[in-house]
Amino acid sequence: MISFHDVSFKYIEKKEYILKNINLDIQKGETVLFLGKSGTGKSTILNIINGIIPNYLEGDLSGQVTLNGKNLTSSSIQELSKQIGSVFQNPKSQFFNLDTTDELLFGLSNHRANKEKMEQRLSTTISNLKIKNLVDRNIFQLSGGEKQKIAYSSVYMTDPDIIIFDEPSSNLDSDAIEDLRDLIERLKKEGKTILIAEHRIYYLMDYVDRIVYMDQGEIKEIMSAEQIINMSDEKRQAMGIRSPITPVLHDRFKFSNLGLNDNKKGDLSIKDFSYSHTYGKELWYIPELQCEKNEIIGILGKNGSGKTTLGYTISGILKGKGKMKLSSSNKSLKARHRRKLCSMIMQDVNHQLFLDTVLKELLFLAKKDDSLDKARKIAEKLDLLEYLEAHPLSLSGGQKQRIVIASAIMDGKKIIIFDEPTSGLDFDSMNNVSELIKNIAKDKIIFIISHDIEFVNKICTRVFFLDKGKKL
Amino acid sequence: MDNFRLDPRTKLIIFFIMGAAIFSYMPTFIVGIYGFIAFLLLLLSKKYKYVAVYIILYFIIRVTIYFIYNYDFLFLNSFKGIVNIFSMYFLFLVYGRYFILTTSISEFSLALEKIRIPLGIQIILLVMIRYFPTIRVEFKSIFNAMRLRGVSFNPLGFIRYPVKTIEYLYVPLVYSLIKTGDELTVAALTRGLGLYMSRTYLTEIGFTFRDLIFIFVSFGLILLGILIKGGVI
Amino acid sequence: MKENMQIKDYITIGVILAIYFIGFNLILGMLVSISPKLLFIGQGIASLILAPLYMLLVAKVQKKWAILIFGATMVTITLVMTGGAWPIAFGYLGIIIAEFISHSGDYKNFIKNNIGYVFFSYWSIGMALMYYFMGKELLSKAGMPSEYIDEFMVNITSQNLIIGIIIIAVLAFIGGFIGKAMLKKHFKRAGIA
Repeated sequence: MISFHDVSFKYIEKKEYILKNINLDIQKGETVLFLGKSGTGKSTILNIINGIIPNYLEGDLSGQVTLNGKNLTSSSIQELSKQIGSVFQNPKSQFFNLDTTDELLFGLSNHRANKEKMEQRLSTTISNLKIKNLVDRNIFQLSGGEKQKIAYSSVYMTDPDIIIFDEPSSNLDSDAIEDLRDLIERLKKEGKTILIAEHRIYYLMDYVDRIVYMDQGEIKEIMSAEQIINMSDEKRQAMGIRSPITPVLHDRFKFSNLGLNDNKKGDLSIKDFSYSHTYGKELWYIPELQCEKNEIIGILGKNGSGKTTLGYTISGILKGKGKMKLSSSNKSLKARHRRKLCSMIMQDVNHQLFLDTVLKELLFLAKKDDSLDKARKIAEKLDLLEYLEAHPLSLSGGQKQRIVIASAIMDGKKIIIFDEPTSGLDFDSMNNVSELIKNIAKDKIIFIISHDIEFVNKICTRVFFLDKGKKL
Repeated sequence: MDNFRLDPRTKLIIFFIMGAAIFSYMPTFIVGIYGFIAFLLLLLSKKYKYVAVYIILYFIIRVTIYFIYNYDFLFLNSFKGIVNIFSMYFLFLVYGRYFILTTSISEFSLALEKIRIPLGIQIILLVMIRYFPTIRVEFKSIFNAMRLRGVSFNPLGFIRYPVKTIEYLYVPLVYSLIKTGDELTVAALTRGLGLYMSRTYLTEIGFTFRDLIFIFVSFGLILLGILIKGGVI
Repeated sequence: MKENMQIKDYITIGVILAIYFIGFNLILGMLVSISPKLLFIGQGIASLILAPLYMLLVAKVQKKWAILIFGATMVTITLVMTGGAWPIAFGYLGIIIAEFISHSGDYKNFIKNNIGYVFFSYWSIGMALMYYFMGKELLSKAGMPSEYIDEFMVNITSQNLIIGIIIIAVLAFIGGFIGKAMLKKHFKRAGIA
């Protein structure tokens, strides 16, 4: 159905080719998974199929790409959208409308479908994808997982033959991933051709027909799901592939308590902690929590359970109720004291960078003369030394993350909170982040908000669940 | 009565007629009647809470004006500016609220389509509407990030370092919004936006007898005003 | 780059317009609620602060009529929101002049774009002109007592109007330089210009 013949591509501004001599044939009804480390060209292949390359993202595209025998590049993105649907990674930026129903009808509206077709597809989609509770709502009030559901539902509405998914599970918790799994199953049953680029692959293993493993712009291997599952951990990790089986929380966390051994008083104690929206009911309540230095505490829970709010309250961005104390004093910390003590690496690090060079970001709060040396040392440790004069927003996501971490260390923050630090990361990057956090954990208290179980298993010392109103 | 519905174009026409009454030399009582019509529309659309709130607000404004100019409470002087704006645009406030509450975005898009506004302009308007809440959310998040890093935002800071304060807020905000715009564009293109010069909709709009009555009445009031000013009545 | 406006250009205009419009009304609203005398200066200050957005637009969408569409949409929205207050329509003039000036430099010449921005900033002059032409009528219709009307209208003179126009020009011109600096220091390097 889709054929790539000697296809190579490079972006206009770049010197290197991101895709080199790709030869691939995709049959109708196949489910193909594209695997490989970040930057190896998985998304590029998908973007060529849906026309984004070269119509929106410009560059040199050579070779032949055909769809049902017809040359793909002669069609516009919009023409291709009649047969090809695309679901992307970020739930927040895919919706064009404010109302969920408008968003569902968006594709058909653009295709000039008549009212009968719209009504029919709408009721079919609602019942098949089970989204009755999401219809006629304000998209801004939906959780991340619900937004993503609307995103792929709106693609389903136009009934395309081919559906492309570009890392659809990156921002989703395990429940939402189960919904995604149901979708893939249904699409397969309906005979759709499914093309997915993913890192978190465990939910797809039952459905993939072929796995295309890419490295440095080339297709290195074609594998089956069994091959990946049976692969040794070393080989799989060397290829940069995440676990193919559903991640389960490690046993050692069974003994996680809110208090410490021997009823010790921790370096940080939190009592009667709660937060409620204005005039709303309580979002969560923590009776007591004792934390020690060098701990890496995981805060888990479904999307929408208030984990980020908890992070904001601990760090003093929000006031909340209750007491938070350090072992050094008996006074409860007010919000502004907490802000001095804590740093948070937010879900969207772009919100935290506002100066024009990395060095200036690091030196923002610095007062003493030896700060320049200190900054250089920290930059070196975090692999940022060559980028000190670059504009922070021009760097990659991982680098931006490290800049915020470096700033937190420069500022001498004792409590550091990470909010979903591994969203969308491949195995190597996830590993690097874990090593990094373990390295900086000395004499600090680290909180990790995450739904990435694999990651949590790697680095956390204790783990808690936040479940709509309580800490379990 | 079933759902009280007016075509969005009717609402716009009435609004322009009201505007014409204000920005011309119409007798003041005519403006008052339009005010009454605005409240009536809200009532007929069953938005009782808003009717109550706006009536109370109106009284507060009138009373404040009375006190500012008939008594010498110095502290009230600082309210002059705000009260002035509110009073001037009160009619628009009420009617504008009516418009927003009773017109869905898809009805609005369809209306734009029917009056032959080109797709490009429609896209601009829809994107703007979609971005208003987005800007709020992003701004809040960036503001929090700044606070966490120790940037304080009291008015004093603003006066001493106006350029810096604006720069710190501006850059991440514009960057974030433009980047979202890029992703939004890709998501829109891959769902066919721009395939045709116009789109189809599930909602329906259309003129009914009700629309005609309201247009006639609004127009009639203007005529009345002209006749009065012209000395005929 | 294709010659005519594409979907992505309309979306870019929509995004920047959203920020510009909200920003303008917020800033002007704040200043005028402090004192109505700040009506002209307020527009100038807003134009200064928002100049980087205009420069960003011109850098991103270097196509014919982009500036006109951007400005005309803003004026039209304001026109509609005031129920068709005819003085607002004066704003179209500045937009048209800005489009032609920038076009003559292929949208790449900074001085031309800056001068264009000065004319562009008069898009909102209608708001002030409303009071100039019809202030007494508007205020009495709003139910303001006659002492307030006299107090207010004393400030609205032809002389003040001309001073106000000059202030807007100066502040917008300075804003253009700030905009260029912002582009160079941040937006271009971050990859969004």
